Parts: sequence; structure tokens; C-alpha cells
Amino acid sequence: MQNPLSNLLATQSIYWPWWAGALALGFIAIFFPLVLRRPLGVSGLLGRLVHWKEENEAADAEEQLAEAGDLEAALMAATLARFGDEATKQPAAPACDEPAAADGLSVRIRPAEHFMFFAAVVIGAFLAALAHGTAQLRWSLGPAFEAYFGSGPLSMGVLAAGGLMIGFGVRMGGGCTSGHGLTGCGAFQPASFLGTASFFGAGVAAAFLLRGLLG
Amino acid sequence: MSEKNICPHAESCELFPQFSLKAALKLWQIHYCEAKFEGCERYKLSLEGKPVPITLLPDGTNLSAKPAK
Repeated sequence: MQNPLSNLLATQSIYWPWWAGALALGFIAIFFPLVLRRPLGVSGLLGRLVHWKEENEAADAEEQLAEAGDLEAALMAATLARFGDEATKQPAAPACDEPAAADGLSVRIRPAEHFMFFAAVVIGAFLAALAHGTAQLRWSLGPAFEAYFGSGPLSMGVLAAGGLMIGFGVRMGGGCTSGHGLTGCGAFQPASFLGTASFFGAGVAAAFLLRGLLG
Repeated sequence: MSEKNICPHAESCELFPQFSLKAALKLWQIHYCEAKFEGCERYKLSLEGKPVPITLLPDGTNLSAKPAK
């Protein structure tokens, strides 16, 4: 009789080769921030969709400011209003001990465009499965999952609970596999190395624990 | 040498580099980014996971599209 792990390994053939996925992920991890001047992070993008109203308000305010033309002038006026005499006593020369300001502000993406990203994720996955001849509507995560949790209400409950824990975890950790694992580690961010090691380590430990308890 | 207690969100803050443009603007960094960043409205909004508009200043005021004369 096959155990759940060997069943899981047997299902690997339904996926594309690992190197094709790695190339595609590497490509998007590089070009997403280059084009949009924002790091790629799927949970962060989802969070922006949740806060769609505030995102739209922020985009409106930024567009108004951009139309007015001069961010620096607006900042100076606000600085004088806030600090008064202290600001006027400062020398007029630039503060040269700090790096120069960014040569352009990042582009605030509207929630509707974020939605397009998620729609493209689903469509892309479907097209990949279609091209690989494995596209089919399934209610199961595969034989390994069914071996542990069956295919009835328990499996639905486990999936819902798992989803909630992931959502809670990524908000607490400030990112998910794409934000920390792809973008953060790619940018040599120590917090992202720690985050990625933590959630992958916890995943491996949980898998061994489940094997020990249920396998 | 004393080490500055710089806001952990400074790297991702869109206004932080703008505050380096002029000595007067650097007052924002001195009073907020390098001091009481916990009181910065941008920092607080960011902690809530909400979008932080570039028009929001550390003291909670909003940049006007038309600068005061």
C-alpha cells in the first residue's frame, strides 16, 4: 500500500518542470518592480484590493498633486506652516548628507488594475494546465490530502482553517512567499530571509508532524 | 557615537527621500523619522496595513494640491 508521501510524489508529474516555473517567477520578480516601481507581493496586492476605497482616495490625491506640478513647493509650504521660524532659519542649500531624492515617485496602482493581476493569475494557471493537458475542475487537493482529511466537510473545514491561518500569518509577517521569498530575498533583505526560512521551516515541521500523527 | 533611531519604514516611505531635498524639509526627518517615528501618521497608517498617500505628512496634515502662497 502506498503512503501519502509517495502518492504526493506521484502527483508531481502533473506540474510543469521546476526550472520553467523558476524562470517565470524570476522574470516577474525582476520586471514587476522595474515596470511598476513597486515590489511584487501577492498578499500585499490583495490587501490593497481590500482597502480599495482608501487606495482610490490616495490615488486621487496624488493625481491632484501631480497635476499641480511641484511636490517640493507643496512640501516647503507645509514645512513652513508646521515648523515656522525653525524652517526659515535653515540654510537654503540642499541637505547634501543624505542621498538625493528618488528621481520619480512610484506609481499608485488603482484597485481595478490589482484585480486584473489576480484575474491574470487565475487565467495563467488555467492556460498552463490546459497546455499541459491537466486542466480539470477538482474539489480535492490530491490523494495525499484526501488520505489525511478525506473529501467531505472535514476537508472543507481544514482548507478554510488553513486559508484563515495563512491570511493571518502573512499580515502579521508583512508578506508571503512572493513578497518575502521572491522579492525580499532577491533584494537581500534580512527580514525576508528570516521570514522565508521561518514559514518554510514551519511548513516542513508541520508536514513531518502530520506524517507522525496521521501517517 | 550615538546611533540614530531611524524609522523602520523609512526605506519604503515615499516622502523620506523627498525630505532630503532641502535643509528645511529635513526638519521632518529630524522631528519624526529620526525621533518620534511612533507618532508619525504615515508610520501608524502603514502599521495598519492601509495605503499611505504621498500627500499625508507625518503630523497628519495633507499636502494641498495648491501650495499656500
